[in-house]
Amino acid sequence: MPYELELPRRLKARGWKVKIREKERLDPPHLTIQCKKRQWRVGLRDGAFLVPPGGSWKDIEPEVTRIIQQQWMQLQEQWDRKYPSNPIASEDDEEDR
Amino acid sequence: MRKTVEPTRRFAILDKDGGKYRDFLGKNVYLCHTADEIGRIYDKQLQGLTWISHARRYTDELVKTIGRRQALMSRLRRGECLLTVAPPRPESIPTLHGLFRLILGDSPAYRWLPKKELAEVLLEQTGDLSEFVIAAAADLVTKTLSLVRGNCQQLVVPFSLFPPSGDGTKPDFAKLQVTDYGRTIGFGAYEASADAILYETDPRYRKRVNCQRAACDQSFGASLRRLRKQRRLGRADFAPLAAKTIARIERNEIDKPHGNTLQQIADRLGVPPGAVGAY
Repeated sequence: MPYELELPRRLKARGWKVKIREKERLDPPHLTIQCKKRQWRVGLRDGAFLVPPGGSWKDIEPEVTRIIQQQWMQLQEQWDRKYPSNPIASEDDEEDR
Repeated sequence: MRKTVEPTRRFAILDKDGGKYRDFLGKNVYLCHTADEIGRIYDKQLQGLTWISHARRYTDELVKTIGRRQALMSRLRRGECLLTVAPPRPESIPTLHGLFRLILGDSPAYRWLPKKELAEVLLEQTGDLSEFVIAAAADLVTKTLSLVRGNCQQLVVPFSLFPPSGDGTKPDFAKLQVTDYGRTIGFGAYEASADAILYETDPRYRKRVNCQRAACDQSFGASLRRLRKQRRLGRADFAPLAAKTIARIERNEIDKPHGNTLQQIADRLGVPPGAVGAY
């Protein structure tokens, strides 16, 4: 099953979803935020926006941002479960393995 | 510099109540279901018109109405594109192919976006429609997946593109779904990002995405790393090249490899040497 962050009903009704799916573009680890047609990919190592490049947390509903921040560790763990060959651990750690 | 002008996209929706489509009715979106209504729209001979049928009986009406008009014409004037969200009767398919240049979804195997989402993706006409998947069909015999993109292009990809995830979730291709406004393809408990599929299989899409990533690393090392991850290879899988050498190339600590070294890397990744830096 994809990992989907539990969001309050009112956010779901407005179309917000936060997911880690079974097949994502692999590099680097990230979560996907969706709101109807719109989609953002945020790096799980540094919280930077991968899609759109230069995207901003200002585009995301503040309550969604707050829940993502609270669940950050959980999201990182879920990525590692789904993609053990491309873990959150820093690239330097990976290179030394 | 010559500017390319995108042709205006127009839609004729074969549906009675229209649902979400009603929000978009106007200059370029028409709703019809009777022979008269269909005939009036057909007679306008609009460029770039895509017909979308939501019921078999309306497709039948379309075949009859357009067929009658074609029979009276001196030369064939085929419609451009027909999306059959409700699959047509099998016996109508040859006639439909005579009446339209392109028919998408003419088999019951196709799964479409829900009507409301399809209307928003196609009719809002914002952004690039090629990045949305509006329908898909899985062929369990040939083990391939046919995707229909928002710009009506088709793409066929092998099932092997969807390996089990690290937590053991496997795709069940018999339980195909297109969801999330065309951003997700579901196979039972397994979900794949449309973006990931397009990135791996469509070089033009990949090029466009990479151009948009101007702020991100476009070096040879970064491309090698992305491609290696896509192929699920470790750095130690490039023997006789040492894992440390691959790591140093990926970190751009040494110059872009050439000759034999580049050929060995490319062979392991299954791409031409010149393509390694394009991922």
